Amino acid sequence: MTLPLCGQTLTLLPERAALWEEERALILADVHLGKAAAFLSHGLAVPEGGTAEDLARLSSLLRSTRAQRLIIVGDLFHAPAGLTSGICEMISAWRAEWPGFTVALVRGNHDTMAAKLPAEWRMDVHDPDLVMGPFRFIHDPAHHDGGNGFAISGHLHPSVRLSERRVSGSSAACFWLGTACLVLPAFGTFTGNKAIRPAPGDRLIACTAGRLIEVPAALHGV
Amino acid sequence: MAGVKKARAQPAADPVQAWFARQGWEPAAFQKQAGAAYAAGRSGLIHAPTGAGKTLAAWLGPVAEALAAGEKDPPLRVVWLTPLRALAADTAQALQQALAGLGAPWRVGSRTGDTTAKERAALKLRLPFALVTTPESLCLLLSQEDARERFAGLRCVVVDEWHELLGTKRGVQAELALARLRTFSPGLRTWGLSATIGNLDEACRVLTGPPAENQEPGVLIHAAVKKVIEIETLLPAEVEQFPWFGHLGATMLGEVVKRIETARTTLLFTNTRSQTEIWFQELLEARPDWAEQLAMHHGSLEKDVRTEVEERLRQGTVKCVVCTSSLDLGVDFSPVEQVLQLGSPKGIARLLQRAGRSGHQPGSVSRVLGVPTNAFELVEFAAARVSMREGRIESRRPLVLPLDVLLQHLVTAALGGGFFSAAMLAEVRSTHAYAGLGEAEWAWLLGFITTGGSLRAYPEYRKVEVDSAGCHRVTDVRLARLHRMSIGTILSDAAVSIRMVNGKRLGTVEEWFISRIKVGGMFIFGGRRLELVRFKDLTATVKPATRKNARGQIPSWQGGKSPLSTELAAAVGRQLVAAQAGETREPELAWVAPILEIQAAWSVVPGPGQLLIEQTETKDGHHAFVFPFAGRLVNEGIGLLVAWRMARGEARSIQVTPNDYGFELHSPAPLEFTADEWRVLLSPEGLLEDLPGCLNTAELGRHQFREVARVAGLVLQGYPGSPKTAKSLQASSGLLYDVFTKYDPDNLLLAQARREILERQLDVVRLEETLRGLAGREIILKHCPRLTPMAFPLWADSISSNLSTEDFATRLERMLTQLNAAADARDGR
Repeated sequence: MTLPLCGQTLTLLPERAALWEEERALILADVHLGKAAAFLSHGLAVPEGGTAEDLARLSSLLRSTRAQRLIIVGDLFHAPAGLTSGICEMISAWRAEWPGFTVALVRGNHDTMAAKLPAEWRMDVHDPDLVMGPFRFIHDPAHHDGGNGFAISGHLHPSVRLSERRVSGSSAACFWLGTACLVLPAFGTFTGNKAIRPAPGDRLIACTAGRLIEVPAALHGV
Repeated sequence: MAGVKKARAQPAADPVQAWFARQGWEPAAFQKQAGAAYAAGRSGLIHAPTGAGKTLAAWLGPVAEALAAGEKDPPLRVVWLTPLRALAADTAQALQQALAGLGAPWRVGSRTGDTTAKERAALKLRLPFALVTTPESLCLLLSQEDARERFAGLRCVVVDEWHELLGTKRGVQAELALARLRTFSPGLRTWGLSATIGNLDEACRVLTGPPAENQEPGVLIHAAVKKVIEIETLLPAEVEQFPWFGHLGATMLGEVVKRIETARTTLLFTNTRSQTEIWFQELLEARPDWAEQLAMHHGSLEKDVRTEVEERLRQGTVKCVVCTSSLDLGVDFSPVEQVLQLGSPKGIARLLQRAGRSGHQPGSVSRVLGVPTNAFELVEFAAARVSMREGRIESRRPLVLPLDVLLQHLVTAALGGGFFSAAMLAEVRSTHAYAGLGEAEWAWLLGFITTGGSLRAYPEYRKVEVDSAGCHRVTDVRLARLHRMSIGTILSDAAVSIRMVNGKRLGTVEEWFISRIKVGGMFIFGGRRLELVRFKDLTATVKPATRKNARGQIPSWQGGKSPLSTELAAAVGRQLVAAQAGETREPELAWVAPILEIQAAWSVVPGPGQLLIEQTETKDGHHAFVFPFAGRLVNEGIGLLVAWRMARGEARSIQVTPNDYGFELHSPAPLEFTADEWRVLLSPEGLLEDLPGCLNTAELGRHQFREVARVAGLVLQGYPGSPKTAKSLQASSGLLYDVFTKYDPDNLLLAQARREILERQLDVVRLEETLRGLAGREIILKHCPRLTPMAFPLWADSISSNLSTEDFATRLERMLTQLNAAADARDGR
């Protein structure tokens, strides 16, 4: 689904990411790498597997979109405890796969270790935001005061809930397009979603079954 | 003559008999029997109605033993387990009084979630002669490093209200704790106290465990006290006042107020905590002059509030207490003059238990007055009375192999001094719940707690470590603390503490409720209108609402909606049949007659050996209503099964709504089937193959995994003031379920979640029995132009969360199509 935005073109992808066509930049948020490992180190036996899968999904997306740069709008990592040697090796291997690439990481609230990342990962950390062209990449949309451009954010893990009069809701991750901000769905596999309350005029585009479907306003929050 | 003299002389030698003589009491036969069995080294279960003196029956054995031994300063000898922490203080007091009467200088302590830090510290130094506690608090004690030494002198465990624990995970937790204590103190005797249930023999076996060598099996002792219980129903002035359905209808308010006026003290039982709040408000509005004499009691209220209400009940200074099951059990509130049950009795045993709150004294009649809020509930009270007369009381089936509880217990045992695999397996298998635990499952469980999984090892995971000698222990203090915090989570979900601005605590509500309320928003809790000031770190700060007449939301607690027992649902079916045939003399049925006449005119009232299916078309689609009269759980299971069988092979969307009598299938497309086709849809053949199919589509698995993950320690419970680090370790159970399904599909906890749905959610045993029963019934297929009295409640039951066979995408597309069609119609296209 292609979205003209501030004179630029954004293609929303059902894989829960967006492509900024003019810059050939793949934009995503809330990957939460190493989340299961962080749980494990606290005695919570959650199976590991999401990190490898998320990196593989990321690679295949970079390939299919032929993007030339990557912008992560926060929460690439989950917690310091999650960056175990095994997880770090996976990330290093993934980074080595894409040598010519620039990776911009806008620091999210979970990226507490963003200042101390291994040099070989070559990530440009931006804190609190990254302004490029008409866009301001900032993790938490609540920190966007309206200045410095149109915000592209994450943090909320937005999802849209479908509920009818007689049936309890089921939900799907979604893009949330407001008047001053686009909130991306969480890219990571092991990330929860939170139902949002859109304002009148907002657009919600659900990622479901490998497709994008726009949920019309009449079905918002029913 | 010598004999008489001897008999006279004996009491002086026996302090127990002397005490009875001083009080002018005669020990009841069952009390003597229990005392003798205890003295002979046996365990057992005492079955007696409330007020018959079963507490003393269990207490006197171990006390007499200690007195006879002339113990000066005994270590912990008796653990008294109670299912409700609210009962602990009163029980401890009653036990202490008996000790005082017997001239024993020992102390009875209590330890529950309500115990203050200071008291807990004192208990840590020295345990009293007897300790009253809950299963959770006992597990906490078992998780202390020196548990083995502290319990080494234990002689007896008494489990109060065992019928309440049986059939629950807390009951299994108690079974495991008992097995641990039997290891620590060989020869330990286990005694239980139980009200009437259908399977007392089994209850006794589960409690007392397998007899040790040279020990006789547990003995079941019945009190010969015949308790007279009367069930009456508050009949309305006119039947027109009765809605066909509905839960909270205050139609009967006026009548209830009149009844409360006539008695000195009334307990008004409701079925949910939210109903308690609503009725408290309604009564206050009806009789503002009762403001000082009305009280409410439910488990979410703060302890001191509950204690005050209980104290006022005892003194008789309160006119009416609106309450839930938190007052079902235990302590003697002698001044209670009448008991009212508002709304459905839900079960026969439950209604009898509540009736027993009045006429507590031995020999007096217990009465309960049913207050129906709809026509069906009228029939339910009649059915409960008939069932009581016929002696059909529900059984409580014990749970088997809940691995989540065992995982929690194993970590507890690893903390409490550690364990060795072979000995622990034998100990665990000595319980009823895990007698059938296999070697492979055991290996998986140990793998899960030591390396994070049986197949792979995660280096960063080390909850339980195995030392060179093979002892399993927890060495990480941080993990020890996290585990101790999670003990007790069997009971409930994360709770949010409610505090006034000045810091006074009012009680707890579930997180999802408070998170729906905006700051400045209003809600009602504990009978007060409150305004939310802020909500942070699982503490909701509130102040009294200032705006007059503002209507607040009333919290509804999960699990509030309990189903009718299968026995009672079937009894209701029988009453309807009897009413049709003019064969019932229960007064309630006369009031339902006009409604039954409408049902008969528009459709039929199903007779014995018949299964009624009504098909109706309304504006919102096609409906089929099926009435097996099997209780909500079983009806839900049949509904899901039939919907799945109908949808099989085609993308069809069918929604299922169950209630206690039947279920509704709702679809935008016609649901036209012949009687023969219905027979195939309802067939018991292939049930076990088909059920997993319906489960996947209905997302029940994700839902059930919530509890399993919590008990197994996979979900960190937030708690007020929890450190920030805990936040990054929170994941919803639904998300965990997805992650496990994807990366560890053979995890036994997933299998358990699915099994629990089969057993508990859908009650697969009953489900199969019911389907077999239905197979022999004649199918009456009716096409009804209107919703009949029996169908209407199902149709209107929009509160219940329905289950759909659709996934998100299918559903969204259908809703979009509907939306477009509606738009087209509006635009006249």
